[in-house]
Amino acid sequence: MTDTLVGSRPAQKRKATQRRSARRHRLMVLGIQALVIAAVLVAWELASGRVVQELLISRPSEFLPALWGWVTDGTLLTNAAATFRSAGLGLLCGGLLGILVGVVLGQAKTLAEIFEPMITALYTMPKHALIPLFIMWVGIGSGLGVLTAAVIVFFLVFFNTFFGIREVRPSLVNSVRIMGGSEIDVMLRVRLPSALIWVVAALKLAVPQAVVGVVVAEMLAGDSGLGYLVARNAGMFNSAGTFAALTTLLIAGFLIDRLMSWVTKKPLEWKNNNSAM
Amino acid sequence: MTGQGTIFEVQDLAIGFGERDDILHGVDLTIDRGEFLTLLGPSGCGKTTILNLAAGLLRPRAGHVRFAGEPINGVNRNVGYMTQDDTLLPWQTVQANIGLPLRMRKVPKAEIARQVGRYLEILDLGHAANLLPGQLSGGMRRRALLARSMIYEPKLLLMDEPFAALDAQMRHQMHIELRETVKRAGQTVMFVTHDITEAAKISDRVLIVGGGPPGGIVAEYRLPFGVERDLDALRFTDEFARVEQELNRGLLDARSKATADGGGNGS
Repeated sequence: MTDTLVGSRPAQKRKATQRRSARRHRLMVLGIQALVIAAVLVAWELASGRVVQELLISRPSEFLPALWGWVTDGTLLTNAAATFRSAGLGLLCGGLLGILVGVVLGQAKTLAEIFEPMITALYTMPKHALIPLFIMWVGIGSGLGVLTAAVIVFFLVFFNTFFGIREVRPSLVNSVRIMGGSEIDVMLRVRLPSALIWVVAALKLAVPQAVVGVVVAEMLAGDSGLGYLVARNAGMFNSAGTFAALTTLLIAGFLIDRLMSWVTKKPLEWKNNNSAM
Repeated sequence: MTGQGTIFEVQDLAIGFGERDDILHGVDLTIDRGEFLTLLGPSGCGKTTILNLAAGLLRPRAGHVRFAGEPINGVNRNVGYMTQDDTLLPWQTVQANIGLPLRMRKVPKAEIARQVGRYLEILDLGHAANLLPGQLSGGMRRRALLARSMIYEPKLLLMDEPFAALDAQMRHQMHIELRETVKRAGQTVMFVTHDITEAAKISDRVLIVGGGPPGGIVAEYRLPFGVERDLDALRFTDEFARVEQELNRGLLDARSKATADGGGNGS
């Protein structure tokens, strides 16, 4: 017991020192990032109207108050909610369909031989080029964003689920069967968890891609949303409004990336721990 | 050999697959309940094929393969199979992995917890119960696999070079733990290895597989060490050295036979 206590003190001290050092490093990085952003904003402010026409690049002292105005009058919340609602629904529909088709084709070899090349061919098409077709199908509005996001997400999730199911080591499947597992056990305890890691990896890409799809759809034919804000302000040569909308997208994109990293950290933990897989 | 009835039996077996359609031919083999049988032979001689037949993962081209007197049709759920490959589910903790066979067999939760706790203790894995396989050392992974293979009390435990990836010291430790665990449970084991020392240390009986292709059982040795054996001391005795020499001679004879028959894939 004494040995343990004596032995653990230096280790605890070392860990505390490492934690303090890591915190200091993080603060330093954040400080430098804040300085870089401030420097860019100051340079932008000074260059606007002097080096580059203000109409082309606006200026921080114009678009930041415009952005704050949208925050206070609810414009930002309404349009951001419209964008994320469409992206969320698209993610749900496209994701579920991608998982379902991925599981079915991952299990059925003949079906996979028939359909996988067709799905691959469709995947190679630029999805945004389909938006005019989607407008004919569902018209202008939130349905367009949902459909665009769903199509983008479907392919990403399908391929990851399909290969996740197919890539399961036969030895894992055989071991579960020998231990008394049914085909349902094989699916629920081996194939799906094994594919989950691929699906989670796909979601890291699919979520921001779904938002991009919705924004593009809103820009082309929307009546609300962040993409609509960008297109409307640009169409009126309101550069402050355009940059305010773009800044919103920038911040939203950053937050989504961080959120997905946080959400996927736990499911990816075993993968990071396992060198054998 | 304890001799309490045959659990696994192969008669006049022939098997092959793919480009190798004559891996084994004319194989006769039995293993009795409670026996520790080792198949010893060079890599590629068909040892693993025999284990896969016992597990129902392969079917013979000719001959009979019976388990507890019944022909094996499909996956044999009465065996435990510990392969060279790490088959722990990497997303489940050690205790979840060990309890997996019981969960699939719908054993009540309290009983699963009791059995898992018992095996964690027997194999000294208590401190690692909540770790993921990726956080374990090679030896700990092997112990967790052994626990998972034994927890549902399979009638026959198949072990395919399970300790091949471990260093010599860890392998010796695993031999001691395996012998003790198997003895305690009265477990029947069919073990595969190409390591003469390993075969001599842990087996009740050794069959030399080789002489091909097509290969077969070319020699049989009953080891004189008894059920109770001190593996630390045993490996330094003259008798152990003599058994090792005999097994080595058996392997060399099998190789000569293969060469004389025009086979001898040299693997």
